[in-house]
Amino acid sequence: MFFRKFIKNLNFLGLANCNLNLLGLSIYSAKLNFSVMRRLHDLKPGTKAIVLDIVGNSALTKKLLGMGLTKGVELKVVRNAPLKDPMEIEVRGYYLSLRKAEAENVIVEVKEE
Amino acid sequence: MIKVALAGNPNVGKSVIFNALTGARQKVGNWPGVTVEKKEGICEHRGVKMIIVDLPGIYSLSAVSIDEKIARDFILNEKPDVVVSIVDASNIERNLYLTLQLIEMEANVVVALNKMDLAKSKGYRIDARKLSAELGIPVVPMVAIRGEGIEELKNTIIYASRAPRKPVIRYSDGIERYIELLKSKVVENSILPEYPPRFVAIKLLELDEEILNRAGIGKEVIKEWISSVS
Repeated sequence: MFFRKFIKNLNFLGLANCNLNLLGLSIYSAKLNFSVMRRLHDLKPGTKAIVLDIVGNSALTKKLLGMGLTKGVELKVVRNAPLKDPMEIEVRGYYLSLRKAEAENVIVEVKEE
Repeated sequence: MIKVALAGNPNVGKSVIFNALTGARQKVGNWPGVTVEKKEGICEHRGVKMIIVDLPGIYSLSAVSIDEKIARDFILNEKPDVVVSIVDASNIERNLYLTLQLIEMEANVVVALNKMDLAKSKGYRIDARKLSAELGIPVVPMVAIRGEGIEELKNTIIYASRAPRKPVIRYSDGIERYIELLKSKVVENSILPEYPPRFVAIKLLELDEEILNRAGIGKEVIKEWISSVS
């Protein structure tokens, strides 16, 4: 199990390397046990997580921040549409639907699966 | 005649409040150049005539979407006497974000705390007086669909137009240092002098594309300015 997660994270970091936020992410991985670090679109319904960072282009980042997905906020995955796109999450007491491509830019720490 | 704008997230009861304020005296058109509906109406209360403008339903004022841009431009350029920020009390946390952005634009904001009945049934107990004290602006609790709070909202709008309140939202010291620095640069170089300097400074710090373009400043310049503070 641990090994699988580890591989997953290697992939994840591989992806992150293409990202401009590399520096930010490497700081996180130094500080945190990175087996809990995931991207939002990967999470299953019922999972609770904390937002660590938003990556990607600035217009999308601002939109997501504006919808309340700021660092440190807790969210819960409510359900997925067929083909897992879009997904619905609960954050700050309301329900928010996100496209998979958008949720991919939200880096989270899983609290409870 | 006082000019009043209604702002709020989608689905907060903005249209209900607009209709309650203006009755049948409405004019429907489009915002110039775009196919976004613009509703205007007249409201007369205690001998004061108010022109009410319904802004598009928006979540923030970041000027990413056309609706947000319309709302932001209207508030910055037309400078309404009062901006009513309509807040869904049952969803208060997300809704207050827009309210804070309006305050930051130095609009004369009145909060219409709508759907108080729904908030109550969700188990929320909202102290409107304390909220008002914390925000530094008037807060009117309402259940607009039943007409509750409409008269008080009208009174509050008139009162607010006579005694504008523009509180300043303070950030942490670290961020304030940058805001202060950029604000002095904004004043010194008279960048967008028609807008409030603190607001422009905050937007520059956010590297807001729209404001950067209008000011004709590149991101590098801002980065260079901020690099002098450390």
